[in-house]
Amino acid sequence: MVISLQLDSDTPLYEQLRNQIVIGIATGELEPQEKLPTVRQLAEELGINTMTVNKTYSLLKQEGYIVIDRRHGAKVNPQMPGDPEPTPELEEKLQLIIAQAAIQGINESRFQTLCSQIFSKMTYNPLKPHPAE
Amino acid sequence: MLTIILMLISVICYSVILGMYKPQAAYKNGMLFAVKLPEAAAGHEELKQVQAGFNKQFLYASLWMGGALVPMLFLHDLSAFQVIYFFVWSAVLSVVMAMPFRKAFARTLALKREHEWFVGDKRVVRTDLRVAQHKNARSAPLWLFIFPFAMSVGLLWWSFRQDDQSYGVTACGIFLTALFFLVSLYMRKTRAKVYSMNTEINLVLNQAKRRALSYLWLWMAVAENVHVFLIFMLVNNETGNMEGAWLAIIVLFAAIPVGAIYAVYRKIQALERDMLEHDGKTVYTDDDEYWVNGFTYHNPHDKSVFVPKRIGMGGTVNTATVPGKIIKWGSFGLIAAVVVGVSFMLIRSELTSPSLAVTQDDKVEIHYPMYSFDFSLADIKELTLVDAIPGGTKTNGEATNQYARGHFRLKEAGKARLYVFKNNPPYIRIKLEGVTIYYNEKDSQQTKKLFESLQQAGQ
Repeated sequence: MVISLQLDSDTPLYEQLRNQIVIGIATGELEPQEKLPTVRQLAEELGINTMTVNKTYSLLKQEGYIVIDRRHGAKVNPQMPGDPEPTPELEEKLQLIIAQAAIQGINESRFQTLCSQIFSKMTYNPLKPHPAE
Repeated sequence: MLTIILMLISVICYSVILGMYKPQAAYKNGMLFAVKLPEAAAGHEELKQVQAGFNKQFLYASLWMGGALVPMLFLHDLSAFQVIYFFVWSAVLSVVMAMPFRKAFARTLALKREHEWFVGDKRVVRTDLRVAQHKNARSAPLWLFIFPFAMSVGLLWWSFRQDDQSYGVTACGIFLTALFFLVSLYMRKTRAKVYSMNTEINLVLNQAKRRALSYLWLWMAVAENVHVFLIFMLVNNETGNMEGAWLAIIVLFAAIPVGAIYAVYRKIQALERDMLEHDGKTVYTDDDEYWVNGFTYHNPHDKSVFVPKRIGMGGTVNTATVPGKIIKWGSFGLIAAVVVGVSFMLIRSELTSPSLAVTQDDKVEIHYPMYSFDFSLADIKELTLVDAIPGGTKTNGEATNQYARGHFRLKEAGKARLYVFKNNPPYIRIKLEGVTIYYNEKDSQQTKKLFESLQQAGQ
């Protein structure tokens, strides 16, 4: 998948990188267990500081999106800690987005349609757990 | 000979500059005068005026610079001034020929801003996650450089065994091999290009480009070792015949790498065009602001030192990085030092002549900058006055149409030291153990007098 970082955006670079990798995993552009470049590789390719990439990777690891193996480097977590119940953080973030939409004058059904359109792109499909594991 | 070499270099420089600037006046690969423009803007009336203005100015500049080569032919008999004229001409060439382009570039950029002809995103960096990991997967492995390195080390060892002064030539082989090795090493580290949102296309194009270039550098290292070997053979060609044939082979070998580079880049560009034509997901980025005056890359947001050129072949440095600055100004300094140094030495050679004197303690001293030599009168095996010097080649010294000074290797005589004005007989020939010396004065009467005084001193 292609990563695009806006250099003069208000969102910090490490956050832009993190967001795009999360979206990549959800849309299936990054497959479960797909290997990611090393911190050095990615920093060199983007021409940014290694510390920035490092920060993104540790954030992604902390959130359980990627796993970092000493020998094999970083890869997309094959088994996300799935939990069908929305967390309070998610609800909080959604509240802000819906508030902004409401002020803008978007009605509920229009918002729902938009949500389903975006949701239909999220083809994330976790690997079936191996019987042996 | 010198005239031919200088004219050849001048013509090559002239053609390269012509070939570099002239095509910029046409809209190609989304660019006109090194400014990215949308296709719709390309036919704009004001741009056509800029193109016409450039074509006219460029024609004048090329005619003047071509005409300025003629005086160099007339300096045939004044080698030092001919070389200095060549330096001045080259400097003026690089400035004068760039002027029409700079003007056209500035005007096009101003028009672009005025009409807001922007293409793609600005201030965006992109990378493809899979390409970042596998960009070098199909490149030539670096260990293959063992072969050219073995060739150059073997050649150096062999030339040392020959006990000759010209191992400087074979040392060039190692230097060139190391240079190509470093280029290959650095190319592996350079950033991959994001051509499209389609990962497959990015992967294929980046891998194909790196594969073609990495094998190119490897073969160039091998070819240059063969080239060095041929030059070494020519320098040591004691028989002196077939010189024309040797020279032809060597010039041909210089042309092969240039042709190979051109062919490889043409192939890569053709592949890029073909694949992107049917893609539909091609990525455009407006990076004009980082290309100062169209050719210099200056991007403080980019940490990479070497980047591929936007126009033409090869790479350039990012002048916003410290190593980039050092390379840019260092090469300027190096060129200036070489030009000043060579000019100084040439003028000194033109103004000073060797001198020969016999000292109180029966030694013969020949004085000349860098090639002074002395020996005892008792060491002279043979002292004669001759009317001709056998043909041969210079191993380390100065040779022009007018004079020959320094170390030479001559037919029959073998190793020799020459301090002579050419075609100005007679010459004093002094044979020592393992080396022969030829010496004369500009005035033949003086030479005869000197010969007589040497004869008397020897008795």
